[in-house]
Amino acid sequence: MIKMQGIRKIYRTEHVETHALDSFDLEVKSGEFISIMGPSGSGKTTLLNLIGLLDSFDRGSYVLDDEDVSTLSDRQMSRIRNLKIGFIFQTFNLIPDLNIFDNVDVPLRYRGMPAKERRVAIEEALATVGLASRKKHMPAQLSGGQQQRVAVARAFVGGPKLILADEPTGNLDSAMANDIMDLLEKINEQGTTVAMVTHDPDLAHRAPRQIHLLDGSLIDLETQDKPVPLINGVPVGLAKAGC
Amino acid sequence: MEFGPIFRALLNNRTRFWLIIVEVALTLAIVVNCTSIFLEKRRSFNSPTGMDVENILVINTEPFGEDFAVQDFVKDVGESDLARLRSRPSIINATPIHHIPLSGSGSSTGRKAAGSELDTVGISYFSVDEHGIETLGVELIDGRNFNQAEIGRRSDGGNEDMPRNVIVTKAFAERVFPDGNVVGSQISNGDDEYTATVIGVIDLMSNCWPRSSIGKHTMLQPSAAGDSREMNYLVRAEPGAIDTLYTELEELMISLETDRVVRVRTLSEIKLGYYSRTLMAMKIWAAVIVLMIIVTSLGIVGLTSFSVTQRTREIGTRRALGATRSAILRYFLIENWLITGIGLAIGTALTILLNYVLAEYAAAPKIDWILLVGGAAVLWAAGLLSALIPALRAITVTPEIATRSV
Repeated sequence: MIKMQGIRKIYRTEHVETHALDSFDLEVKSGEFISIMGPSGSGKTTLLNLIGLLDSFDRGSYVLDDEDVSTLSDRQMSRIRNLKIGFIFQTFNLIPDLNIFDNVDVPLRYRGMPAKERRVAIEEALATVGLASRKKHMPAQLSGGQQQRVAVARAFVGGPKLILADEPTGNLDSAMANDIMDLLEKINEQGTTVAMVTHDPDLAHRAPRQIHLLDGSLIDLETQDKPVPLINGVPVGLAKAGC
Repeated sequence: MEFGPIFRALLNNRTRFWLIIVEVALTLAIVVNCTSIFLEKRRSFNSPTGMDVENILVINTEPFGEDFAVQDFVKDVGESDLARLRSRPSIINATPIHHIPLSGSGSSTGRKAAGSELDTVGISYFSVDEHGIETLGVELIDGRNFNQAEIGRRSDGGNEDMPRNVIVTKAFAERVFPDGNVVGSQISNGDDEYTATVIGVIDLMSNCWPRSSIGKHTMLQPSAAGDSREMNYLVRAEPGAIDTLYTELEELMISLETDRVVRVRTLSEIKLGYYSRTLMAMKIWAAVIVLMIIVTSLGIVGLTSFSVTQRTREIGTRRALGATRSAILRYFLIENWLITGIGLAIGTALTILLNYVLAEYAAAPKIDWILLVGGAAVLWAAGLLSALIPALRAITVTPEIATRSV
């Protein structure tokens, strides 16, 4: 599903260059559920942005769903994001002036789906996240957990092949966080690849595969040759910063 | 298209847009009414006078010599002046005249069909000789001109001395004789003590007060030069000769008789003087119109810019969910169309209401619906262009904004 090789991402200001990712390789198979952990500034969000075609990289190659997406135009990247990727953000990012139904409708409108099909898809998605009765509500009328469930519905309503979740439970209490994780697992069980950035080791371990980032480099616990000592599931050396 | 969600979003956050809506509505009401008044004033200024205004010079003489106390001397001077003027090359003709058309100063009276029970109709009159029609450049469409035998001294006020033959404008004739047959008909004052025969009809001639409701009710009556000490002459120049004559005539008139002050002006100058307040008002209306459109456009730029800044994360999220740059641009433009459209709808009602009030209490003209549609189109275009600037800024928002924590 995801094949990144030799990725370099540098953030430049007038006087400073920050190497967010350097010679970065990652391969994720279709249908996998991976969690991405790492301390602040380790490049987690940068990685998620690159995987999700939200940002461009300086060097390397990236194949997404068997399509080389290294050198696409902005319009082409928008189309791939719309068709193949669903996003869940830490702060939900619902549009405050739109009701729940219209929020979930946003990605479907951008792909030009007929109104009838959109309505069916939205109602199914809202039913899946248990908010079918709230479709006329405004985001501000919902709790944080409910808002994130709407965001999950918006992410999978178009049937994407990949869902990227950026600390989806970061603003939720543990019960709500578990609800969201249940939903993500349910979506993954249906064959959708899920990549989730999280700071929570317990939630990270619910993903079958965990990868850790440190200073822009990858420590993949599944492919590591030598066993890495863990404290609370986090590689030694990352434990302080990561937890 | 996203009309539905955009419209619903507007309804859900009215405070964000009501300022623009109110601004657009007020601007439409003020701009359309101002433009209507402006056009009405321009129409009045440009309306045909029936005269050859561009080629007419007005000579005003104010004698101070003692000889001018003798009426025969005055008459001789008048005849001499006119003979000299008419014989000069590049002058088509000249006539004595007591009041100056388009000047805002003159005499008017009331006339009706003799014997009619109806009220008299207001009419302004000018005393000219048989050269008057050609000098004024007006068109005689029925009847005849004065002949030399009819030219006499103006009366001192008694009905016995009042002219018995007059020429009137078509506007007056149609009002007083709606059934036609004007030439040969009698007109009289209110109590029928004085009557005169209409010997001719001229197509059009504005009088001293062209803006008034009787501005085209004009009567010519016969009079010779030298009726009074202070004499006015109208001189009609050949096309292209007016500038030269303008500088020469004052000298010529003084050379004929030194004991008088001579002032030469063009009829165009006199017209400009009469309309000076109108022209000033037109400039003010034009400035108000332009200023209102600029202020509204700047307001839309400012408020839309603020909206774009406030919604940076929303734009980033939309981009992340698949919106192309053109979709973002379209979104803001459609949003602006809707906001401006609501403003224009409210503004249309407000425009009609304001026009009703202005027409009722300030004699403003009724608004032409084409002007209303045109005003709305201009404001819609101005709104669209104003929204384009911040909308183009919105499309520079990158999708990775969506994942930023701040």
